[in-house]
Amino acid sequence: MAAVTGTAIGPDETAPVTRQDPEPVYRLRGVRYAYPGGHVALDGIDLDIVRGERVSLLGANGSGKSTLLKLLDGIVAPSEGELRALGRDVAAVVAGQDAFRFHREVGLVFQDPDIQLFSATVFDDVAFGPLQLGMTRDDVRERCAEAMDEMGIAHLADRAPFELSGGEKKRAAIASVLSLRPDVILLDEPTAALDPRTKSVLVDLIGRLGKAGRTIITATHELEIVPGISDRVVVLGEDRRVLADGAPATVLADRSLLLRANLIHEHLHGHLDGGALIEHSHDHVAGDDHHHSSGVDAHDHEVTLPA
Amino acid sequence: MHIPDGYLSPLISVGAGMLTVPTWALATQRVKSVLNNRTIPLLAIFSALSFTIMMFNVPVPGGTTAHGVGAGLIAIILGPWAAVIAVSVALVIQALFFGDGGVLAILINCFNMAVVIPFVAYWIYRLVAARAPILSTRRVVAAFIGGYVGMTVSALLVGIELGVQPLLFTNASGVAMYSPYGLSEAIPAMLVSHVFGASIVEGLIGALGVAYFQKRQPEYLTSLRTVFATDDSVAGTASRRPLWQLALGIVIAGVSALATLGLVLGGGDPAHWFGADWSQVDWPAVASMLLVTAAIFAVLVPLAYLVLPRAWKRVGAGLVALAVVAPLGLIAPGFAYGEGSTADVKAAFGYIPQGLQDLSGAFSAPLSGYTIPLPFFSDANADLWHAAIGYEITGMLGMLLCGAAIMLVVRLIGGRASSALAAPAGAGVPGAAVQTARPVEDRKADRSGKPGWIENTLAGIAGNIERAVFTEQHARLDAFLQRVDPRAKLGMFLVIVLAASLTGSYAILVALYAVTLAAAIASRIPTEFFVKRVWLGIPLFAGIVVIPSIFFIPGPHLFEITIGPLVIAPSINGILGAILLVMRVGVSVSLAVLLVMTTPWADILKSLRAVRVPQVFVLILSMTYRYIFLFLHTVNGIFLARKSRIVARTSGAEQRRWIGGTMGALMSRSFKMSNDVYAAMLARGFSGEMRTYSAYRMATRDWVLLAGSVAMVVALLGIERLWLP
Repeated sequence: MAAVTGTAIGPDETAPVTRQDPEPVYRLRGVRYAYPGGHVALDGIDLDIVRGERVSLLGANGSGKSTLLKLLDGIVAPSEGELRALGRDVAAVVAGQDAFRFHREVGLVFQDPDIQLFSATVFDDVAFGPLQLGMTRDDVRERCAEAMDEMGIAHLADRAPFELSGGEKKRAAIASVLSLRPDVILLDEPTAALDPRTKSVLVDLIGRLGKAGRTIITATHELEIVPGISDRVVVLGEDRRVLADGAPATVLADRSLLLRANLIHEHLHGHLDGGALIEHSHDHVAGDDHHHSSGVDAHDHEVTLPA
Repeated sequence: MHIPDGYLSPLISVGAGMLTVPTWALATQRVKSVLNNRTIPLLAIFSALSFTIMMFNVPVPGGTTAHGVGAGLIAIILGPWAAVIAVSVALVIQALFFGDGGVLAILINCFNMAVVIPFVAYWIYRLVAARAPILSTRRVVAAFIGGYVGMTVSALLVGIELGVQPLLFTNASGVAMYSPYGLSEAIPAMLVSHVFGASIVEGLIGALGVAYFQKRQPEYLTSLRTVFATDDSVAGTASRRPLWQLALGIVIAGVSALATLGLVLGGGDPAHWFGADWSQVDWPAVASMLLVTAAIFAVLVPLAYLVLPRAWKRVGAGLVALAVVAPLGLIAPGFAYGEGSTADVKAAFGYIPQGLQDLSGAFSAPLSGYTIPLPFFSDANADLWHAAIGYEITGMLGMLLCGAAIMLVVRLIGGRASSALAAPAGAGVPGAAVQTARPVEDRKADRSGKPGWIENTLAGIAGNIERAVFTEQHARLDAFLQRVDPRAKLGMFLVIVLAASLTGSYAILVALYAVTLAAAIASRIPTEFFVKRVWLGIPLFAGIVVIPSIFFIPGPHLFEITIGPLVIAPSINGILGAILLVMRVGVSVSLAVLLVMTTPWADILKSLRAVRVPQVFVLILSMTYRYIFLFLHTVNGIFLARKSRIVARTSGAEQRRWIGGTMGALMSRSFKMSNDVYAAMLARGFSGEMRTYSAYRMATRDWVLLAGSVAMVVALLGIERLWLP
């Protein structure tokens, strides 16, 4: 793993300076999205995100997180409502107006790396973005080297995607987005199906990207990483609207809210205490310890969080 | 039906490019106008799908398995132009990376499989389906017929292409330079092996795929334009052309064609239709025979249907119907081709050949001539309809005898018979040998002790993946050829393969092989592996395939062994031709293996730009190659999951239905995946034109090698022309 000094992370001096807008990076008013078949993915979202914020987007599977990220990335247009990003109307971007520049400034790391790694080799995938930008060969090579070093995959440059493990593919997918040095980085369930080491690398990366001034929005349902990767939590409920919006400490402490959003589950569990069966409800939230101090069966529970 | 290098003269195989390349250009234009920027991801994924479908071992009614192409189904779903590109890309990858089909032969293989099959299948589908409702069974049947006929026409074409070789291309001493089988051997061989095997699979793939989409996503059965341009769902309109009209039309067309042909062959005189003398026919007797036959038909066929046990009803009634109408053939004057008795031959030709005289009395059949040896039936003055009934009775007796014999044999041999049939079907037949001639490596047996079609498919997939990893490893070593620019290597390869295909001299082929072997050793390819992997595959099968030709090619004989009436006499020309073919095939395959093992595949694809392959093709190829492995991985999982859940024998019909469902599911997934990949490409700045990056620069050494190869080839061919016999 390269040292923190990699320029892939730092602010991009070569990018055109966007004028300091009072307008937030993202501004959503009443955004709705419905699939062609009629299924409604988002039902009225109001949201503002300012430059440099690190936001976690929480919600159970199917709550519309991925769709929201695709909207924010300007690859699909909302069915209704106003969505402005970086001072532009996203619907126009989707229709093709200035799409090129927009996609250079916003990067989305898809949930499935196989979708994102569509070229024959890792290097080709990482180079795809800079190449489409029209950079010279030397610049392209430099950018790729930076991004691959940052993700620790420089030795995999000539490999085909089918030769990589899940963690390596994920790193390659992220590198392919980093090589564009976007100002806004969107991540869709980045830690899904990852081994612990890669997970920690990822959390680390998000932290550093944030410190360097990038705006980062992460969709996830893994509660344990949320405090480490964000200053703000937005919860999407099963009704497809924003259920809560606040600091991690506040939101994550609200048990009933988390239950309503299907982010934690509650179950009954029982254990014998001096011959009698004691039953009580019990849930697993990040950092929760559970500890019986009465009776013969005094014990501590080790909390293992749901995967 | 992938033709390897060496079977066809480059004039034909490369010359087919005159048809294929313009078709590709036209297809690219057509598809882009509808799909626009989605062209690359959609076609890449469907190429990967086509490739995957070609790997399936499908159980065919009859107990064997065969492979399809899937071109018919893709033509129905995506339209024929898109199918042209998708199947071509799959074939190119098969040829370059998996040695399935020759490299010089790519153009003609693409014509046969990626142009002919999609268009024929598509037109027939449209003809038979004729605006029937999207969800009707008629569409499924139409898809089957389309696939079946498409594959059969393609097989016929391959038969012609192969059969024409010995007529057009012999060397100075009359030895056939390429495939030694003429039209009269190649065409029947190709047709028979496909009509009962691969064509059925192709039809099944089409039918099952359409059935799947009818249930899950009927909108994909409309046009590509509808799927990607608008959101309207399309309901089928009522059928404009009812089925009976269609059937009647086909029957009338068929009868008219036959009548015309008969007139032509008979010199324009209806009494000599097809060249036979119809004035001899006793028409009143024919009329009474027809009446009697019709009466018997009306009684016997329904009776059979009612009486037979349930499993046999339909088949049994059908067979009885066949037996009852068989006597219609008695109407025609003359004797059947090749079936005359000595008296017939004497009457027709004026003499009786010696062999016929000696042997024709050797055996005396009990029901000779398909009549019953009773005066009522076989008396010379008996009415025609008596003979007809005798014909029918003997026919039915014959069917019963055959059926009993087959059941006895099957029971005796048991499971081992079907497994022998599941191996490369009919290895001794030229048509079958040009199919995938890879012996199945992994024979994991199922419960009954024979390798099932699931195991065979899984083994095929595992073999491909293993081969891919192995070759990539070797391509990254630091050795002679690995350091050469891929474009130079591609050029050298093409030049030398062309030389191997043009030469008629053994000495030159040996020299070319020596050069190849030396290069392989210098590139740190394990020699034993290199030799075994090449020669024990396609060349071995080529050798087996040409053995029969040795015995009937005209020319002086090497020796003659007489066993009773049989004479075994291999001709010298036949043997020389066989050796030439095998050597040529061996050298071509060696070169291809060498190229693939010393060059990472991504680089081979990129180097295609140097031979003027359009950018969009190269991009589709790269993406297809990448997604093939994803598909293989998925299919592997699906097949393994099935294998782990099957606890009893399943019927062929159930198996086919499952395969159909699997393919349909893969297709749905393909659409979704292509949409996702398109989104991912957009998200990284894709705007239609894709730029690529090439790390290689041609160095002096590369130019020297390339020029040297060209010089060597020119010199060798020059020597052959001027000095060698």
